Amino acid sequence: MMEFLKAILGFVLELTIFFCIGSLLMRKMKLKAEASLALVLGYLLYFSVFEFLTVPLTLAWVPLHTLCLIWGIILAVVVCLSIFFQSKPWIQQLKGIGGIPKSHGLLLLLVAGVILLQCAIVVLYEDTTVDAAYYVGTVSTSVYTDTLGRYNPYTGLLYKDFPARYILSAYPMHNAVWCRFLGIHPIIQAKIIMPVIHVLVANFIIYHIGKRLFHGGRKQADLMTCLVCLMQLFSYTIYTPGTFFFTRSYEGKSLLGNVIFPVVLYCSIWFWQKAKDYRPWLVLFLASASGAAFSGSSLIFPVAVSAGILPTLLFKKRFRALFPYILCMLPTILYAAVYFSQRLGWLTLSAS
Amino acid sequence: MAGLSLNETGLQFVRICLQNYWGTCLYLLLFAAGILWSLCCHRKQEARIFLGYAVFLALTAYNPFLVKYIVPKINFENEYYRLFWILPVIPGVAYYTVRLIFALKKRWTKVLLTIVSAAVLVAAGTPLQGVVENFALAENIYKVPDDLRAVCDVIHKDSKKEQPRVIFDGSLNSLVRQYDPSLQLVLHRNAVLYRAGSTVIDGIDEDSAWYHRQKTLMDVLYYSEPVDLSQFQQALTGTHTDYLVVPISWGNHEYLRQAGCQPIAQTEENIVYYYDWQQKI
Repeated sequence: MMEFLKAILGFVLELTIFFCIGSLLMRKMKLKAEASLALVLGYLLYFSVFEFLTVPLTLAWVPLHTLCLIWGIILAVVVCLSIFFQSKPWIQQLKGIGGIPKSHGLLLLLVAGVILLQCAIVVLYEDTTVDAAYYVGTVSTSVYTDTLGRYNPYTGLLYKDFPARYILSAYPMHNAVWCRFLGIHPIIQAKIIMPVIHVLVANFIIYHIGKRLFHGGRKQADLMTCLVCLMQLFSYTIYTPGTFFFTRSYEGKSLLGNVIFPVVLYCSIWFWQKAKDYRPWLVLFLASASGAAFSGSSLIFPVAVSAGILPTLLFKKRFRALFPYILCMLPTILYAAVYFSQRLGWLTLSAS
Repeated sequence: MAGLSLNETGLQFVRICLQNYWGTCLYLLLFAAGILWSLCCHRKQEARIFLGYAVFLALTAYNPFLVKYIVPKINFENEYYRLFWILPVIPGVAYYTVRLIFALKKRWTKVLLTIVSAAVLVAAGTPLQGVVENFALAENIYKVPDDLRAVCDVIHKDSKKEQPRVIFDGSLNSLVRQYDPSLQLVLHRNAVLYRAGSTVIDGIDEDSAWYHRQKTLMDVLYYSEPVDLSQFQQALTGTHTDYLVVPISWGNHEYLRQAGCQPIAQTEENIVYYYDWQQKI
C-alpha cells in the first residue's frame, strides 16, 4: 500500500515538474498557454538539461546522491521561478477550464477514455523480455550501489569500462534519481510511473499534431488521437512503436519512436505553416538533446529531421533555414562524436 | 533486423525488413492510398508533409543501393528497423481517416463512418500479442513473479554474505536484479542469449575459460545435457556460485545433490540449493 501511495506521489510530482518547466519555456517562447503542450515541452527540456548534466557526472564517477542533490536544487529553483512568474497565467487557465468540454464536445470523453485505457495497460502489463535486465537493472543497481551506472546490471560487478552504447543516454539515471528522492522501488518508477507519463506525453503530442494539421480543430485532433491509439493496439510485430509503447515503454528507444519522432513531425508541420518562425527549431533542438538522453539510436535523428524538414525547405525555397537545420542537430552530432570516438578506440570511458 | 544479413539478402534487405516490420498489417498501404488521395482529390497543403517524408526516405534511408553500402559500415543491420519509425504511417493514416470523416456534413454520417473506419483499421491490423490478446497481467506492483520474491527472501535469510552469487532459472535470470540488485548473477545475460542462438550478441569468445564455465552451467541447468559431475563442480567453484534456484519440474535434482548442492528451501515453483564453493577449493 505504501509503495502504491509513493507511486501516486511520484507521478504527481514528476508531472508537476514537467508542467512547471514547460510553462516557463512557453512563456519565453511566447506560445499561447496550453497545459498539454506545456507538459510536452517541459518533458523535452527536462531531459535535455538532464542529459547535459548527467553524462559528464557519470563519466567523472560522481555518486548518485551528489547528482540527486544538484538536480534537486535545480528543480526546486525552476519550480519556484515557475510559481512566481506563472501563477497568474495558471489562474487564468483554470478559469477557462469550463470552456474545454464545449470546444471538444463528446469526443473529449472518448479521448479521455482512450488515454485512461492506455494508462491502465502500461500499469497492469507485466513484461518479461530480457532487455529490461539492463534498462531497469541499471536503475536498481545504481540506486543500490549509490553510483551512476558504474556497475554491470547483468551481474552486479564493477565495470572496467562504461558500455558506450548505453552510458551516454542518461534516461535510466533519471529513474535512479527519483527512486532516491522518494525511496521508491526502481521497478515502480521505471515500469509504472514513467510509462504513464510517457502515455500522456505521447498522446498530447499526437493531439497537437492533429491540431496543427486541422488548423486548431480540436474535435478532429481528438478523433485523430483516438485512431492513433487504435492503430497502435493493432500494429503488432516485435518491431513497431506500438509494441514498444505498450509493452516496453521503460526502454529509451520506445520514447524515440513514440515521442521524439512525432515531435519532429509536429515541428515539420509547424515549419511548413510558419517557415520564418524560429520556435520549431528550438523544439527540434530539445528533441535532439532529449532523444540522446533516451537512446543511442537517436543517432538516426538527423535522418528524421531531414525527412521532415528538407522537402519543405526545398519546396518553399527557404534556404536560410539550412543554418538552424544543422544547429538543431548539434546534440546528436556531439553524441555521435563521443560514441564513435569510443568505438574507434580514440577515447576510453573508464568506469573503475 | 535480427537474423537478417545484408550479405545474404543484398538489395532485397530493405524489402524483407519492411515485410518483417509490418507483418500482416496493412497500414502502409492505407498510408500510400491516403497520400494518393490527397494528391489527386484533396489538395490540403499540410498533407504534402507526408509525401515529403515518403519521397525523402525512399531516396535515402530506404534506398536499397545506399543501404547496401552504408548500413554495414556503421554496423546498423540489427537496428535498421528503427528507421521505419521515422515514416509517420500511423499518424498519417489517422489524419486521412479524420479528413474523410469530417468531409461529411451530417453528424450521424460522421458517427457511422467513424465506426466503419475503426472496424476497417482493426481488420487491417494485427492485434498486439500480450496486450489485445492474452493480456500479460502483472502478479504484483513489482511486476515480477511472486515466487521470485519468495526466493529472494529465502536466500537473504540463509546467506551471511551481503551479495551472494546465484544461478537462476532462465525465466527469472533477467528479472531478478531489477527486483533485488543485492544478488549477483552467475550467468551473464549475453552468454545466456548467445548459448540460445541469438545473432545480435557479439563479443563472446567461445574459447575463453569464462564462456566454458558459463556454458557448462547452462548445459546442465537450462538444457539438461549430460555433463561430467566434476566439470560441473569446477564450473560452480570457478564462478563462486553460492546458490542455485532450480524449478521443481526440472528433471535431474539428484544430479545436483551428487554435485554437493544442498537443498535449503522450496517455494511454490522452485527449489533453492546452497553450494559451499569455498570448501571445494
